[in-house]
Amino acid sequence: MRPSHAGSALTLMTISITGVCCFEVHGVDPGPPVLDDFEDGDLLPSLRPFMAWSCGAFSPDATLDCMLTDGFVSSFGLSVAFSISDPPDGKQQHGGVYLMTLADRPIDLTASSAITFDVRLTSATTAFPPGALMHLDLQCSTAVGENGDAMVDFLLVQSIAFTADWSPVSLAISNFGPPPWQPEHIQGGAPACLRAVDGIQFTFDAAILDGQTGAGVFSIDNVQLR
Amino acid sequence: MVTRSGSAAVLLMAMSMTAPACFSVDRVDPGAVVIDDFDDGDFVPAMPELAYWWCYAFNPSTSRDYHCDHTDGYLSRYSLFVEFSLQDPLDGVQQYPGAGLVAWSGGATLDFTRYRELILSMKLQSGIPPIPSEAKIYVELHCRTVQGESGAPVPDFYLTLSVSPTSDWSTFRLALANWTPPPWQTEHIKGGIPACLRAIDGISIDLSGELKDGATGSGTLFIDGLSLQ
Repeated sequence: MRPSHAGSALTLMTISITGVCCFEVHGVDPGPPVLDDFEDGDLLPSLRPFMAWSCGAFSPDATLDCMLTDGFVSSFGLSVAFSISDPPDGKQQHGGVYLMTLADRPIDLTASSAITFDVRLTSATTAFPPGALMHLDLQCSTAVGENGDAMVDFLLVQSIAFTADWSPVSLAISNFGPPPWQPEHIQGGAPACLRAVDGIQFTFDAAILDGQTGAGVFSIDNVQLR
Repeated sequence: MVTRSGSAAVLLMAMSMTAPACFSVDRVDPGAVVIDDFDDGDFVPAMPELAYWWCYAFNPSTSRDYHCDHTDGYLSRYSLFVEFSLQDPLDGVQQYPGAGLVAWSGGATLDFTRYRELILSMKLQSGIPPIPSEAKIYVELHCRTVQGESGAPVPDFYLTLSVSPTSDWSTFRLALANWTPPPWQTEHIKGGIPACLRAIDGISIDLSGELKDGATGSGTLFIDGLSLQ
């Protein structure tokens, strides 16, 4: 029995080495493209053409340090710690923070069905006001306005439900649209922007009350396109 | 010659009547459809699927400082207006009070994916105290029969789009590809934006006054010539 098996194995090896490879390499599912799971411990996304993650605040604008912290059941996630003060002027400035990666060329997301990720937002002070908003923004800096002018800051948004614990989120690509507070519109609408996405930004508008201060940590992990 | 032409015509007619219809009905442009031009002076929209125009205030919805009626239109007999006074209570929070006009369907839904744009004319007449220049008009398309991604109904779901108001009549051509769920709506629906556009059952036009905390303002919002193209 043993010599017979050895002979079969030798025959199989010979066929393997000399034979034509008749298997379908295209049929292998590589799984969803991972934009970044942060497990390599750096700020460079796994998916090209996206470039290094950056973190910052808006209203007022400031650059913040991105931190690699504990992930969602993993070694690393991406976090930004923040403190936001709203000046006492009768108006809520809607200051907030973001985690962002820009691409060095536009990509077409119309073939993707969803973006999935894990998210967590913890407060270092009291809970954020009910008006606090988290949203994922898809930037398309090459969009053209309906009047023919370039609209370099144009983006599509979709809201994110968030908690103080890690939670998985899946956002259908078909649900992204221009922010309703943007009164200028682009040629071709949301589909035109989805075909030319060159930035992905996770945004938290803390909706701090007039004259108040808020602080916290905003974390993301396992960002994938499906 | 006459006989031959007549035979050819009869043959062509016979072929037309008996041959299969080999054209694509999906490509037929429905043309412009009037939602309402208000020129009949009533509150019933011209679009038969919509039941009635009425007006309201919001933030708070209990406000009664508004009323609506008809007046001179934009190059036409009548337009519809809502006159309002807004107040933001002094509490450290901007409540974004506003007022609007809405037409709900009587139960039918409308498929807006057949159209490219919604056209309407508007003007905002600021009162005393005035409405801030940051004020925005939100044109909202409601779809109250859609299902959330969980399968549960999302009875208040709508798509929205903003425009900056003008003090003189302006006509806005708003591409339907630019409407989106508001980011403060955290529940998402099955089929996304197209699913809502296929099941529209209400149209509203809201003026958000963008008042500062503790501020007041008043004004009148006029609308005219609503149509789909």
